[in-house]
Amino acid sequence: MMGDKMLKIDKKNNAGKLELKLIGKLDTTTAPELEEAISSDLKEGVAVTIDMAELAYISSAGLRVLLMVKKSVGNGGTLKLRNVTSEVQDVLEITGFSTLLEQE
Amino acid sequence: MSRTHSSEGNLITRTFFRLLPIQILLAAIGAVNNMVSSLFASNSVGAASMSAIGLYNPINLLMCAICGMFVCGSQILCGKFMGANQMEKTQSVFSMDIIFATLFSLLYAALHVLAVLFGWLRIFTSDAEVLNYLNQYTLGRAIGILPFVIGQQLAAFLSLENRTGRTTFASVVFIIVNLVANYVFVAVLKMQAFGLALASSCGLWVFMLIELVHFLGKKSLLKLKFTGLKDGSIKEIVKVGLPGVLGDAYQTVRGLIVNALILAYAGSAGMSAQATVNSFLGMFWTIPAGMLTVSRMLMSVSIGEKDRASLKDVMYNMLKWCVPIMSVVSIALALLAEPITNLYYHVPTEEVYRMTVWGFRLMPLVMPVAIMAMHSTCYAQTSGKIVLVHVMSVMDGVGGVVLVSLALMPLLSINGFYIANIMNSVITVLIVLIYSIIKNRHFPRSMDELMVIPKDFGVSEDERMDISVTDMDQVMTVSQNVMEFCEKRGIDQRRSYLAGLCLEEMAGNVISHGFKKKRGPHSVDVRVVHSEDSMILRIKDDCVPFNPAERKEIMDPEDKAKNIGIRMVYGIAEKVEYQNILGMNVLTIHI
Repeated sequence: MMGDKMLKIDKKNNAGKLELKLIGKLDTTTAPELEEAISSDLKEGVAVTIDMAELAYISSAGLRVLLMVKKSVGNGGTLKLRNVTSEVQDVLEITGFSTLLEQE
Repeated sequence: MSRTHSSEGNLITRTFFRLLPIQILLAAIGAVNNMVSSLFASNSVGAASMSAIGLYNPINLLMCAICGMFVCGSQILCGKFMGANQMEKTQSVFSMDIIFATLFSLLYAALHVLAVLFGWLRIFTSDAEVLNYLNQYTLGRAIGILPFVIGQQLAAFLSLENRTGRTTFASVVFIIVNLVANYVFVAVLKMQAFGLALASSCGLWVFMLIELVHFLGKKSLLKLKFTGLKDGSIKEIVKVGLPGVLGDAYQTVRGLIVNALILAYAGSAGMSAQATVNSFLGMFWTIPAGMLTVSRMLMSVSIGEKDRASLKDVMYNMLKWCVPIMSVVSIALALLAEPITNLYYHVPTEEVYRMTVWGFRLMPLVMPVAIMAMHSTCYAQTSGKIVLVHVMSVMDGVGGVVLVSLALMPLLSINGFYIANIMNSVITVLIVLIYSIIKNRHFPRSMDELMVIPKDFGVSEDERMDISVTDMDQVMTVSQNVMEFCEKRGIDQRRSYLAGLCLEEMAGNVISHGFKKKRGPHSVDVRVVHSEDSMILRIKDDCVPFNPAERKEIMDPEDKAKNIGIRMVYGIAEKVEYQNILGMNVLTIHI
């Protein structure tokens, strides 16, 4: 059962463009992993895209990291979500994050 | 995979021991009060005043019984209604209880005054000196009836609201006021028996007023209201509480018969010995009495919540903790029989000395068996097994002790009476066993069968899942389990997913905030119930009170970064209910 909590993070950092693909679950235990994995890449002005096609679950801890990303890249940078699944979309809408976070 | 195990054992046990000291203290108030009174009576007024106090005892017992009926009845009903989250009914029971308890107190106090004015107390004694003291004492006690009765009601409601700290404070103040007032009225002002009674009445007024302050404040869940009262409430209170009073009525009859038997077979030495033993052990009987009060609250809340596991855990807790604790206490007392006797009598060759020693050796042994018998009676009462309650009350009140005493006392003198008391509790426990054999038509094989819990009580095993969580990693596993449980129950994927999410948010919240704010071992008990398309998540913990609704109210709707979890749960759930019962946070989420 513990294996299910795993989050796989594919990361490509290409001169000011950070491309992430999240696979699995972004929850209370995996959110800090994501935060740690990308913290060094986050600077003012970076354009971040996150592919969520295989992200099956997101909780408030995950949303908090997304918010942190958005703040870190500042007005000069961007955060875009891509291929959001219906489950995750539900959560974004319930919390009002769908208006806060841009989607492709 | 759905792990189903008794998750609440720990929570019930912790709640039990958290609430226990205050209940023992409450029970001990009477015992301490008696001790203080008898010390001042024998040293400052004289032996005749002791007789007056003794003669007043039945009048006091009757008041305690009726007061107990109100406390017991309203406590059981309020527990059930709170458990079922029916606050209006809880309010109504509270208000009706206070109104009727007040009416009773005023009537009883008026009778006291009339009895003194018209010389009715002459029926108790022909001794002029004793009668004079009895009249004085009765008048003094009349002043304290209202605060005694109401004070006991408020203490019970404070427990339900988990405000026992106030009761502790009030109790300590009561003991101090009583002591000081006794000194001033009896030793300094020489007010004799009136002073003795007045002193305890003063203490009781202070006790009640301290408790009352809580109910006048804004923080109180329960408020005295004179509108929207349900006339049914008082009938229910009496109906539920009455079996307890019947028990006391039987006890009075038993007392009369037993006294005659003791005088016949053991003489006045036997009478003095058993009175001595009973008065000393009174202090220790406050422990099982306190245990029972706590168990009664836990039982009635469990019955209100239709929570089979918790209900059984109250019984397991009794067997695992109460019986061993009382066994240790009783063995210690039995071993100390001679030193204790030396406090009262000093000539080992005297009959009364010997009889008292044997009393201290045998009578404590009643306690461990009695705690089982008391829990059984209480459970029968709480769960509405009225026939069983009556059978047990009759046997306990009259049958057991009298019959066994009749058989044994001719041979064993006073020891026959002591043994009869032990046998009495054994018989009560046997009655429970026989009742369960009759109802199940075979020897009970489980706690469910022993307690004769109806098959349709609560929800069936496959409709629910109970899990206990102690750290964040477990929260994620359980969240996953919840989703799997839901899918297995045929709930659509979206709802299953949201159920798991709610669990992570709320249970995680308790662990990351609640656990840190309150020291000591903690756990969160999670229950998921799915029946007839209703899906309920219940999260229970004993950390600091935390009402997510209050948090939601104060949060800024524009600031989406704050309290994302709570916002999410309120967005997902059809309904979220929060209660704080007996110091436990109970959050119910309907999805």
